[in-house]
Amino acid sequence: MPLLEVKNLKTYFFTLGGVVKAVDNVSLTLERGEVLGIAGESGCGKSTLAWSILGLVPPPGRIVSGSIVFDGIDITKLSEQELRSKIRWKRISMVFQGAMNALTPVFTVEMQLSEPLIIHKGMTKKEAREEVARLLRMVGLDETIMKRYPHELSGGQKQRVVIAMALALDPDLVIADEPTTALDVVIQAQILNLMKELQWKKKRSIILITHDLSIIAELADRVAIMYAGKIVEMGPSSEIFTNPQHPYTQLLLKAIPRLRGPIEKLAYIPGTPPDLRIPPPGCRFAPRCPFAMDVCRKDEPEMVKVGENHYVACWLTQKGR
Amino acid sequence: MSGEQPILEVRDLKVWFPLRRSIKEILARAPVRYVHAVDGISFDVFEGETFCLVGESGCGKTTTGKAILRLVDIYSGSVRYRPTQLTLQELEAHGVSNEDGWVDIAKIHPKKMKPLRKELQIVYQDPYGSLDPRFRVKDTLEEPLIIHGIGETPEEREELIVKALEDVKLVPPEDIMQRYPHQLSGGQRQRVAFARAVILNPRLVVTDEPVSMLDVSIRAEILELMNELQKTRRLTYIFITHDLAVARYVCNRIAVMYLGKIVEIAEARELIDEPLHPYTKALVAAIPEPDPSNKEKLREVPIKGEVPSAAEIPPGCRFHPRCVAFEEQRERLKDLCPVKEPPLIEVKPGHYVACWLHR
Amino acid sequence: MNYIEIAKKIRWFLGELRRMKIGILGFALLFIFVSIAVAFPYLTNPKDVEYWSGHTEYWEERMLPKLAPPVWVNMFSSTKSPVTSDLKYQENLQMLDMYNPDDLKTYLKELDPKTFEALQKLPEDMQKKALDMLKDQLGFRYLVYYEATVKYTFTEDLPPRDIVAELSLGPIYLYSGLKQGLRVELERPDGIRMVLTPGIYPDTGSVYDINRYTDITDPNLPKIGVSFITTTANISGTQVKVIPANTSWVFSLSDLINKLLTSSDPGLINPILGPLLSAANETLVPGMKVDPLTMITSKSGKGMTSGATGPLHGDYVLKIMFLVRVPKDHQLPELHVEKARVLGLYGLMGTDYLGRDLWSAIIYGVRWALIIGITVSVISVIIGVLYGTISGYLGGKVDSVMLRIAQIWYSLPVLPLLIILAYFFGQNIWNIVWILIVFGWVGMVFTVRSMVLQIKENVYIEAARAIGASSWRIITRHVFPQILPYTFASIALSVPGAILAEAGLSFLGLGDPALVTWGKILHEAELNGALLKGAWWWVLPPGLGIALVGMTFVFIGYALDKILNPRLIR
Ligand SMILES: Nc1ncnc2c1ncn2[C@@H]1O[C@H](COP(=O)(O)OP(=O)(O)OP(=O)(O)O)[C@@H](O)[C@H]1O
Ligand SMILES: Nc1ncnc2c1ncn2[C@@H]1O[C@H](COP(=O)(O)OP(=O)(O)OP(=O)(O)O)[C@@H](O)[C@H]1O
Ligand code: SF4
Ligand SMILES: [Mg+2]
Ligand SMILES: [Mg+2]
Repeated sequence: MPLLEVKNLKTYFFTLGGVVKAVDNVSLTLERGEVLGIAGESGCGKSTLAWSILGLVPPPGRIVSGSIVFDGIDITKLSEQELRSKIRWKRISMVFQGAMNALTPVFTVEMQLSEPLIIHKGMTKKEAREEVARLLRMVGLDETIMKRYPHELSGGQKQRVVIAMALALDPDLVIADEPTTALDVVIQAQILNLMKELQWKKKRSIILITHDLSIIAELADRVAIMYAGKIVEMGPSSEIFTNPQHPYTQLLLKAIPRLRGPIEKLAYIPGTPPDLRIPPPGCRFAPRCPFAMDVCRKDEPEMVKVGENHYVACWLTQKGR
Repeated sequence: MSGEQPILEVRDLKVWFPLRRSIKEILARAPVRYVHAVDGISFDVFEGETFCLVGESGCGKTTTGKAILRLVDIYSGSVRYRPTQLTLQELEAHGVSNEDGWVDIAKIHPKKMKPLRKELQIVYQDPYGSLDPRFRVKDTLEEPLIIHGIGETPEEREELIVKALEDVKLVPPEDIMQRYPHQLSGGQRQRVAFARAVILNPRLVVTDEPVSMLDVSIRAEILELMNELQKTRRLTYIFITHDLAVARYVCNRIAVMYLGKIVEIAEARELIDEPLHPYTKALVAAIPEPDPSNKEKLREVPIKGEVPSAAEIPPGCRFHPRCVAFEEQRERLKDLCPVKEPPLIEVKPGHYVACWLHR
Repeated sequence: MNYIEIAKKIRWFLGELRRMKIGILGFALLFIFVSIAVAFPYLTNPKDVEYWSGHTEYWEERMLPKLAPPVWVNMFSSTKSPVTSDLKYQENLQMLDMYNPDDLKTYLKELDPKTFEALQKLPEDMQKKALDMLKDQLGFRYLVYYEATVKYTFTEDLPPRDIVAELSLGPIYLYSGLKQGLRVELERPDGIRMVLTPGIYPDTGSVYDINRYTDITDPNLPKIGVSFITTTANISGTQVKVIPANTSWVFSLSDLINKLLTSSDPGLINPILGPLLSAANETLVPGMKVDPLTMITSKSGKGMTSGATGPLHGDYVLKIMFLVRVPKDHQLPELHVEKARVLGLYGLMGTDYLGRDLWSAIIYGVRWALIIGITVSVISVIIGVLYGTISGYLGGKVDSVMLRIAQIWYSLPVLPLLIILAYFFGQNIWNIVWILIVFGWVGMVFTVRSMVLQIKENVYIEAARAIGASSWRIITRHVFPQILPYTFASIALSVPGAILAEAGLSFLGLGDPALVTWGKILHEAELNGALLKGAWWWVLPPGLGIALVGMTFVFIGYALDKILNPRLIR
């Protein structure tokens, strides 16, 4: 049984301007010890998907339908109280997008880190302090940092603290939403190394969310590509990077400037992602897709298996079959 | 490219921002302390090239770019620029003297910069912040024309605006013109920013991370646009970026900055393929690539610790506390790196390095 | 921006406004207030406010009830009160010329039937001679009888406050020895009739019988509040006391009985109230508090004096009679009723202690509330915005100095200073406006300055500098448009403060003495113990007016802020 199984999840935002279909019929699975990368452009619903898994969709959003089964429990059926006491932090934790700027400025690192330990694990203050020190060492920080306030830390240090917070209760699943965006490349490399090491040492399940495919390549076993609220391609990392099937994935990969090898002309995808309040009919990528056919603009393609664990939702692949 | 004539010569440019002093410090007459945002850099920019400034956040890239446009106060050094004949005359009318056709932007009173502003332009990183949300695209583009008295009538100005919009591929211009920034996508806004920058027919455009806030899928589009504009309008770019990979695609030459200093300048490929400075090496090594085999190994980034604050710059080579080479060869370098600042030296033709390992 | 753009903006604004209930309410109220301010001369008599202070004669002449509640209290009360209204009256004037033998005969027939009989028996010529003699003995030539009958039909539950009549009379010559008569009668629906003028006289008989009347110069009359203005006239070399022509004389029933009761003179009281008290089997105890109209309009019986017997409905007839005797070669008097009126509830807003119509003052107050509120807030906001913008935009040392000055100014104790300055300079409303502005502008500075500091940091401001825009251009084109919405909202939001401040000063008696403002009404109410007297209608409307105008602008300000503030737009 997979650790996490999301089925036909729909999470919409009911705004004044209309219903934003941020996550629209998304299904995915995650095995124990697996790292799943979710990539896609800004606004395609990555964070919303993550919030849904934690049962933390901010209003005016809510899960409209579908199921999220985590270790045999359907999270969508749990009350807020149950979620808080049984699931969140303890079993699923999250490194929120921009979390390093959201650390409470008036609390020291120790206070921020020991709170969940005292509340959820019932530790005494002293035990918690030792645990905090251990966590800090684990994320490669000096334990003297414990006494500092967030503004006394550099960006990289703050991000490590945030990661330590996510790991504090030793959860089964960690969701990392853009854990390195806004960090410099050098620090980003260090943080990615840290995550790799943690993953190697202790096989945790991770969902890594980012808009940067290069970062996914550093960590993920499997990759899901999202476009406008839907997953358009999903498969093993090696497949996605070497044998992408969806035109969107292909173009995205060609758009990344590389540091080595010949300088080829970078690809780009003309136009902008659709307004999720009024998504286009058919394949949502059709208006920007260079290969779009009539059928693409009319009917929505289904997820089709194209290889071992490799699924694509595109009429091109369906045609050939 | 280096055969071309330089258009800009920056020499020992320093931009220091005074730190706010406490009442106690003022009373004690403590000396003013500074943030050494740009701390003595020199480089040439040649006509028609794209010159890159690369470095981590806070190393002074933006400040350098702004100093060239005299948008910040320059502490010392010179920024010599060679304007066109026409602009020279205009400057003279304002009482600005020149030496053989060169003017020193660092010495011009900011109020007398106006004639130069036609030739020097800037495009900002944030396409959401750089346009006045209350201005329609047309108003934004008309403003520089009005300020510089270009186009007698509204119709003439509109013609120029349409032309600029077509140049940046915002079509149909008549429709785009009437829109407010919030009615445009990020990429479209950045195009408007480019249109504003080129509408005055500048010669040198500073582009400060023009694509880093855009989605990957549209970055290349903007980069291509820059390329086209460069060709059709004969532009020289100073391209500021923190992403070496992007720099590799668009730049002729790259200057790597660290804590307000240029540590290495070289031809783009040479700098990435054979970096000489330990910092550049770390920077190159840190860049992730979309290669799934990367996940099998840790990324070796030869660097220690973290960037110190720009207000407390380490003595000697400012990189030495983080330098792995210095650590390895401490015995040999202990009288140099922590003591003396390494000069920027041309070690190969067109390849400059400021490091005691290379002299 | 061209006109089409502006029109578009306005349309957009109205569209947004339509979605904001509070804004609509605010603008609707403002519209009403402005309409009232403009239509003031049509809503009431502008003379009312012109003669508001220091013109008691104007208000006496208006003859309004004092401290009368507004008429609409009847709608909310189960016991109805009479409403101030004019009463119907009839006048009857008869005149006898004693030089006319027929008239003289009539006179004799009515007053001296014996002499008349004897006269009748005389032959023609003798008769003529006798009449000639008689007429010279009489001492006057004309005998003028005037009678005004005022009828009041009482149907309400509570007694009226008064029944008054204003008469115009004169000239009446007051030679000593030439008695001039006045008689006032009141007849109740139950038939009880009281003669309100003192003196012992026959109750029936000829109207020409001077003995039925009280002499106008009777010293008892002033004791019951009946007095006439007199002058002296020079008549063929002798000085004569006279009630001059066109003298206005007001008869007040309540006044008369009040004076009567306070006189505590049984010789005066008994003849007048006797018929009433004996019919009711009541006695008056000295010091007893009796409301005259309650007593007079209650059913007769024990407890009538306090109204315990219940109201006596029906027609009350008040008769005012004059018998004027005019000597030979003297001017004939003219007598007639100017007004007859029952006083009760009055007007939409009632009256104050001087019987002034509060409606006029309240309506007029809208004008000044708006003028003061808007002038003060517009000017102080403009000053504050300019100051804040300059300070914020220039930054550096200039900013520090300007900020410090503003802070010092802001920390001054405004209220005491306001009071002191208003005391020294405040005799004129515009001085008060200036004083309020002088202390009002600083409030704006800090917010505007910090807004400008923030706006200044926007990248597009630097972008404007990069294309060569001057500071002036940046301020006017990029900075101001962003502050403008806030400015509008602040203007609206600082109106209530200004109105309150002026009201406060006026309430303390430091207002413009020549003007009627809400604050001043409150000041007078407070001075005259309005609340102690239960005159809520004197205090509540100006208070509510201030609150309502304040609320109007708060609503508008809130709506403007919501609509125009870019933070809230998206
Ligand atoms: N609180 C909200 N109210 C309304 N709409 C929202 C809200 N949060 C997100 N959305 C919309 O939902 C869609 C998905 O947003 P989401 O934050 O999940 O995207 P994302 O993929 O995480 O983007 P990014 O890379 O920028 O973080 C977007 O169109 C966004 O505008
Ligand atoms: N106006 C200012 N006043 C004081 N310090 C400043 C000012 N502008 C920049 N600095 C400081 O100067 C240093 C260099 O800043 P700069 O913006 O040039 O860096 P950058 O290389 O462009 O960084 P980034 O990649 O984050 O844009 C930083 O330490 C910054 O904090
Ligand atoms: S000069 Fe020394 S410390 Fe500086 S980079 Fe070179 S080796 Fe390292
Ligand atoms: Mg997100
Ligand atoms: Mg920068």
